[in-house]
Amino acid sequence: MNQPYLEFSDVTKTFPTPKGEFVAVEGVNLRVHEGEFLSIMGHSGCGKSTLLNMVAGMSRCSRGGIALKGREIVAPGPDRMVVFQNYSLLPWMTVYENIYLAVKTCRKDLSKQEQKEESERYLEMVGLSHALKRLPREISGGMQQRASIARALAVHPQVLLLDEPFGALDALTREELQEELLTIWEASRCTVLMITHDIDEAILLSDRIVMMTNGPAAGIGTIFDVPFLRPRHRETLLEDPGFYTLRNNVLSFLYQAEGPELPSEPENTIMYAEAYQEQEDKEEELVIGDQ
Amino acid sequence: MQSFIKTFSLSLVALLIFLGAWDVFAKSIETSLGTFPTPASTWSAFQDLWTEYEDERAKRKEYEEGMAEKEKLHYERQERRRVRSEELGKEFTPREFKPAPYAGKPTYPEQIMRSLTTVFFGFFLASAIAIPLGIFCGMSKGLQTALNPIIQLLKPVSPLAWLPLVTLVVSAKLSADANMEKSFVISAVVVALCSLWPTLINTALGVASVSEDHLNVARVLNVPTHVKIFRIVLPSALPYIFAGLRISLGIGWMVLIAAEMLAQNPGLGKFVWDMFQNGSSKTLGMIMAAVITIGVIGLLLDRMMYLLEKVFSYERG
Repeated sequence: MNQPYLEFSDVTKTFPTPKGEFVAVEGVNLRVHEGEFLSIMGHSGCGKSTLLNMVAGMSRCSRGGIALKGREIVAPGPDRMVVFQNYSLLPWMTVYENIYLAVKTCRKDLSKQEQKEESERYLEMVGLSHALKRLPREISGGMQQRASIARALAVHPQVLLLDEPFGALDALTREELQEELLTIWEASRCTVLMITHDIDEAILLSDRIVMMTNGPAAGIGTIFDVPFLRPRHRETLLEDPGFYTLRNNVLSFLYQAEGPELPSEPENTIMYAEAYQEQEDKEEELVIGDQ
Repeated sequence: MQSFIKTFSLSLVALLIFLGAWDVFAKSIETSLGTFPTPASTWSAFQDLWTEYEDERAKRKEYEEGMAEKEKLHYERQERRRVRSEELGKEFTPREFKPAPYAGKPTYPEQIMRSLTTVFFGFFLASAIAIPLGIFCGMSKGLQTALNPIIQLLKPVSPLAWLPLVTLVVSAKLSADANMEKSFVISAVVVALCSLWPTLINTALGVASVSEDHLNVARVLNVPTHVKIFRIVLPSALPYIFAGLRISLGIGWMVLIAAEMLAQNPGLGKFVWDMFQNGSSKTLGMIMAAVITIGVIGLLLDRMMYLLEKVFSYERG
């Protein structure tokens, strides 16, 4: 706990625009411990992805810096693997070849045979042993995201970065994959930063939830601790009254943040409003049910 | 199946109408060399070309048999001399048999083959330059910007404009005892100069439009440059590259005929030119036959490239 594993100090990102500089993220200070699962939540356009990209090393901080194990992050590297929302599997390679390319590139300490076995092992872990020879477009979105997760984990990253990993999937597949990710993560316990819009997902998976304020010049609004014991199960979690308290806290933070400075993405905002309405309806039902 | 029959019958009807119209119009066009070739006279020209080929082949066979006979006699003679030299105790150096090459004129199928060899030689030459250059252009914005004006300037230049210069350069650089004929090299180089551009432009475009997501994979994994080019950039750009190659080969084939006429490369272009110079009523049919041959081969080349495109592209595969 004394030496932070991943440390953000005064992380600021500005983008040049014709109208002058746009400050996307400003003054983010955060310490992440080894083996911690951290979720980042906030409204669309608040700079969550910008933050993640800087950890990945795909863009540099304009001010401040991010250090992993005391060394500043300046470029992408296999110690920080990203799982993208759109899977980003190479469409001309089979599922197996996609994973093998990553293993071959990043785990040079292994022999060729070991690299092959490792690729197969990780695909088996995400339940894709039957689809090794398939091309990405021949399998479902859920399966593609499994492959993408297998690819990231097979590299043995120190930090796993998930950018809305299940955002494009249907609700059932999403829940299934969340549970699988939980199981896999509990076995490997690497440090994870995950961007998500799904409160239940954040609570189920993470140790802390970082709430970001709205952009421009977004920062950390508050951090919620998720105190539930591991290993977690969705069913037991849903029975815990603490779950609902935490969820309400997260929700009300998001409501607060939703103010006059809404990000200029009307589509997403509408989606959000609907989602919240649904959430509210559900909660009303719950209250009525209790009475 | 039903749609195939429909397509087929519609095409057939159109073809018959076309042949009918051709026949009517051809008969009404009088030229200094007689009437314009009708479908019938074109067909008989094809038949003549075929008989000519068979005659020529028979002649050649006869010639080769004669040569084989001569060779046999030559070695028998050598053997007799050797025996006599031994008897006299003299030294004997045997002489090799050198057959004189057959000097018959090229037949129509041989001319077609010559055209195909020339066009492919030029096409491969162009591709060997255009694909790597296109990759570099696509990967470097600076190079692309630098080369773009030159490419745009050279792209519309007609093959006929290149020809005199190419002829002079090839004549100056190609030594007389080189294996390849000058006319062949000149035609191929002109084909290459004109079919370079579509492949170059399409390759650059394909490479430049590799999805950002796929490039991010390369960046996150820190793959070495050659892996990035061969496993990520090229597969992604392949559909573009093949589309470019297909256009290039089409242009190359068109350019070739003009180049052969002027460079006197003994292919279809020269055949058309020679028939024109011959100037008899019969040769008009021959020209028409050549026109149709050129069209059919162009169509087949295009189909071939289309199939290759399908085989190698992940999108359609």
